[in-house]
Amino acid sequence: MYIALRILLYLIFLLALLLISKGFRLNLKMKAFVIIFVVFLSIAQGVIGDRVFYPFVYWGMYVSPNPSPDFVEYTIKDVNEIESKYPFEILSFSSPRALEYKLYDLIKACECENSDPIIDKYISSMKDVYSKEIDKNGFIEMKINYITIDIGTKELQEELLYTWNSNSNNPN
Amino acid sequence: MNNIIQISIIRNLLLCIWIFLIAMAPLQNLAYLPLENIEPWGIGKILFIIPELKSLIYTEFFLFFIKILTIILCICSLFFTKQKWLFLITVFSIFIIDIILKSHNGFINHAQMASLYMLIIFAIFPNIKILSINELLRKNQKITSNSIEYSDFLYLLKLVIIIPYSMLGFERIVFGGLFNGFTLFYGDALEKYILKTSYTHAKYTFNFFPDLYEIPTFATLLNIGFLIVTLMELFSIGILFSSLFRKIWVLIIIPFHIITLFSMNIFFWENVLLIIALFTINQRNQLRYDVGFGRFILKKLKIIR
Repeated sequence: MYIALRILLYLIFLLALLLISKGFRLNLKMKAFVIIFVVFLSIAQGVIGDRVFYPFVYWGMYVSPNPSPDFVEYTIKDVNEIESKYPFEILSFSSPRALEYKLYDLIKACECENSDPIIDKYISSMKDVYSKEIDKNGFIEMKINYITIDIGTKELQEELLYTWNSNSNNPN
Repeated sequence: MNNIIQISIIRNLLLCIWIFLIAMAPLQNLAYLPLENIEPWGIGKILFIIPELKSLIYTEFFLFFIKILTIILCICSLFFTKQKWLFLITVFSIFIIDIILKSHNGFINHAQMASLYMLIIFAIFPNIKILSINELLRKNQKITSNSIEYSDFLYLLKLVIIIPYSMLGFERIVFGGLFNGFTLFYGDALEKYILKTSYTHAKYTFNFFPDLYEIPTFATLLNIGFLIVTLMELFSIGILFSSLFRKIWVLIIIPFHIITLFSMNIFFWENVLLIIALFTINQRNQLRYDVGFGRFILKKLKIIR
């Protein structure tokens, strides 16, 4: 019901935009395109979280009045025990954050702290890309932490979600 | 300048944006990630109807091949505009790359949506005359078409920018504001967003905004700015009716995108380039073509001339 209402609201809003501009005065082919575009955008906007309508997607950045100030951090340790953050840009130039969330989704789904074959395989493959692009020795450990920011003190509180170790978790 | 030149500049700009995005994308590295985690979205699922296609597509060789092929196609499309089939193949190839890029993550990248939709519009309406890079650079050319078809085509391109901004403004005002007492604009929501995006590992690494936010005047100004930007987004359609509103909109939205780079490590540079190409050049004759019911009402109310 809520989804249908959202879709309807967006459809009315977008059709009103077409009405006050010249959306309905275009030639038939252009008008057909615009209406299909608007209908699919409205449906995608109503069905939040589901991307079955790609390339029509939900637009709703920075909408929540009470966002949770937290994030997931991927810390790797190289053979010299030096720690750094995993550079997701070597996997995705345009949306590295999206891949961070992809791995986080896998961790949430398994509700485990280590030794999950699917996650270990994923991290091992990330290590292979790291070896190819950054350091041929790769990394020996990855710790995935859930960080909560204290809004008052700005202190970061860490909660360890998952640990991957090259010796104990190598699926190969 | 006339509409054909502006449309040609936009098409060539779009191709340049995609050449850069594809060249910079480490596409072949996706071949290393496990095949079972690939989750294509929406229409992208068609690409993987035959399961064997996954193992064919996600190989370093194929991903590198399609990357180079698409860049070559884009470059050829810049110079050869009369071969409509060439542009169709180019757009199809870019679309396939976009599907592949998004098949391994859970989020859409809004920065590239306008560029993608606009390319699709150019592909759907192949009869629009386009000047190649060579023709654009040639001086003293006589191109005299400001026909309705070209102004309508420009209107379609403008809608691709206007509609997403309007939807975002609507979403924030109605679902973020109206249903929640508008705390989004005066509570600590913006501070939380800035903190979160400043600390999260990202391609850009600016993190001085949380300290600036500690200054109360600065925090108030940022919240007011957030509300103003949201209202500008909501009323984006006004760009088509009023030259003054268009100038104000551009002067607010472009700095807003630059501020989000420093405050949240988010930079929709593609949108900035497209806004400049669509709304700052060749504007003199466009308002009289963008006649609609809204302009008629505003005229009657003597808000615009």
